[in-house]
Amino acid sequence: MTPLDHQQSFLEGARAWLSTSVPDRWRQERGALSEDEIVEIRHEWDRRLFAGGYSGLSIPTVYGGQGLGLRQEVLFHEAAAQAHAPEGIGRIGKILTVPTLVAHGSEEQRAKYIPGIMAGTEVWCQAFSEPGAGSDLANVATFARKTEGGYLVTGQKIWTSFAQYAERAILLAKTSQTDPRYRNLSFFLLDMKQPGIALRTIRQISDTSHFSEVFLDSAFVADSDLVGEEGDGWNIAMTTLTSERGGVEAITRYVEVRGDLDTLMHCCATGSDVDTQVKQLDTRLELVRWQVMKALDYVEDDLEFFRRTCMLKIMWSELWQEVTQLAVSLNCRAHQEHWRNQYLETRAVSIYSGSNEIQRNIIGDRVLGLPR
Amino acid sequence: MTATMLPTEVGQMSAVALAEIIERSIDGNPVADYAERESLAWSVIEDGGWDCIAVAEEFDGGGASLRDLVEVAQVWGAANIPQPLLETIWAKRWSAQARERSGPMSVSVRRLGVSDGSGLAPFAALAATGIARSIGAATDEFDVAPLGEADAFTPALRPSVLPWTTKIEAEAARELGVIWAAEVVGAAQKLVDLSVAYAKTREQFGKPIGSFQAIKHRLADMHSQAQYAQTAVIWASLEPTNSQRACHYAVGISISLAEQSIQIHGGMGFTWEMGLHYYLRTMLTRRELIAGLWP
Ligand SMILES: Cc1cc2nc3c(=O)[nH]c(=O)nc-3n(C[C@H](O)[C@H](O)[C@H](O)COP(=O)(O)OP(=O)(O)OC[C@H]3O[C@@H](n4cnc5c(N)ncnc54)[C@H](O)[C@@H]3O)c2cc1C
Repeated sequence: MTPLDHQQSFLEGARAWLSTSVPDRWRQERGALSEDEIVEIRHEWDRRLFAGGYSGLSIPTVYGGQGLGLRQEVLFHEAAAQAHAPEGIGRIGKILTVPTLVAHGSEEQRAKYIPGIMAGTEVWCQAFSEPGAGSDLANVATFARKTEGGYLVTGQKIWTSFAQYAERAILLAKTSQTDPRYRNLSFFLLDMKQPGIALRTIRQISDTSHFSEVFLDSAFVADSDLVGEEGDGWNIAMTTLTSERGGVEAITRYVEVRGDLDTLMHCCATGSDVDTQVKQLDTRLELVRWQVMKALDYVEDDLEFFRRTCMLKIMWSELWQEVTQLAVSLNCRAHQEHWRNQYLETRAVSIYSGSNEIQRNIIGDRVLGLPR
Repeated sequence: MTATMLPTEVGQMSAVALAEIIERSIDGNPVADYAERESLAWSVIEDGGWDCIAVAEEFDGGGASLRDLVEVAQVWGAANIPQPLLETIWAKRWSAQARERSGPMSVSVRRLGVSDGSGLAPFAALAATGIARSIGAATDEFDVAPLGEADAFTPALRPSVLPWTTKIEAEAARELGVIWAAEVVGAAQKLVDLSVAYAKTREQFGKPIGSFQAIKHRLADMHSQAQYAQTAVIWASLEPTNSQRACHYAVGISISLAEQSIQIHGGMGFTWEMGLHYYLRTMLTRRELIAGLWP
């Protein structure tokens, strides 16, 4: 078999599996599902992916992944988009925790945490942002004080998505009051189910609550849950953030935008005079997928890879916003609720994962080398 | 060609006085505190004669022009208060029946995307609101709407779907479109002001975010766009043949301003409590209503 044949047979297998595995309720009545039902379906989806052998396609088999490449990851998500598959609730674990542990974690940490993420039994969240540290993430003030066998962490995080469902968090905290900026932070794996942690959910403009404030009051982290060395936190977080804004993230977003654009094309925009606009959005969305595939040929060379992936976050987020902006203006009664919700929800996509302004600064500084 | 773009003295004074009354009743509270409750009692509106400002002088009204109402509507839009003041002012201007009545009034406007003859009626879920059956014709009539179920998406407008629409004479419909568009523009300007204020105080990287050119340029554009939007509704009020396109333009650009204001506020802008979404929700529903006025 040639590599292309391999890909073809992988894709056919994935399509067959998806056609029987995507829950009908999700495919057909998504708009009518309650918040709890959605969370349950997303949980269940993670477990199904694992049982079906589609969890962690590009993660080594020793950690419970499938040991395939990024290309399979892309192919699978393309098929998942066509099948209107749900997005698992374990996305932070898979997209952020795993690549970070593969790059910087100890063998013990990988063995302890990656399998639960792969199996969909442990949900993770990302406790980075703080009231005073949003775009300026290096400004985190939450402090991890050394104690017997570990650290006691005190401070406040905000905008922590999935916190209410999460067993664990990747946490960025200060470990030194004297070391300079970028050298004073450490990266921890935090148990969210402990007495020192209190949550307050935040109500979003869409009237749902997917994120929380997290209050840490002497929450304990064991020495064995420090990733890398003390003071390496910023560098390690950069790995996390690059994953968050990178190719795998983009391809999962492609799935979500594809679902919305298909609804628009097959229902809401039919018979209206926005045909040209919709076709352009469709072209731009397919370009997201092709941009990722093009970049995959450069995955061995960090800089060249980054040159080709640095714009993905801006690309999919602004596109998604335009899709929902158009859709909500078309007054399609069958999808009114859906579009109102998506329109409000997608106001956040240009803010989270590092705002698009920050991403443009990064392209200017790191890719183009413009003077600061 | 009009000699001046300015409102008359009636318009200018009304706008200033209305702003003061609003200020007193909301008492410095953020929009999230008052957008969902009766924050400005109807009796205050009626006692002040606000509902009659655009009734012709020959009927003992304030005699405000459409250009004047553009001024008043912007002030009203900046506050996002859940009362049908603008609809009532307009109804009394156009209908003898309305002038006979007291209490809040509204209309039911053709809904787009359906063919069952139903209408969307802002404030119809508000107790004692009279919904006009027709306006601008000899046979004006009002129904006190059954307390229908309000569409929760737009708390400040509390619109309900009614099985019929108000028959509105063309010139009256044009005026209502202009007034609603001006309300939206007032809301957009308010969001620009809030964004500027936020950019001056929110610090990241040891500086106010307004010092970053990405934010500074966006705000400069937002200021310019808010100006275009305002010019468009003034134009719409003074040149009837261009009202429709000028209003659509003003509303479109206002919605974009609301979206951008959320971006400037970062994560805070995405919270219910910050309240930017209340304005955005009102704008989206107004866009739909305005489109329904102009077939
Ligand atoms: C829905 C949602 C989910 C989130 N989930 C998580 C999560 O799970 N975990 C987590 O840790 N965080 C999460 N975040 C937080 C997110 O990463 C921050 O909101 C984001 O980094 C922006 O920070 P901020 O909100 O403090 O805005 P600010 O940093 O205050 O930014 C305000 C505005 O200023 C601009 N700005 C700031 N600095 C500059 C600059 N130097 N140049 C140009 N423009 C600038 C920004 O782009 C923005 O427009 C989430 C946010 C949202 C909205």
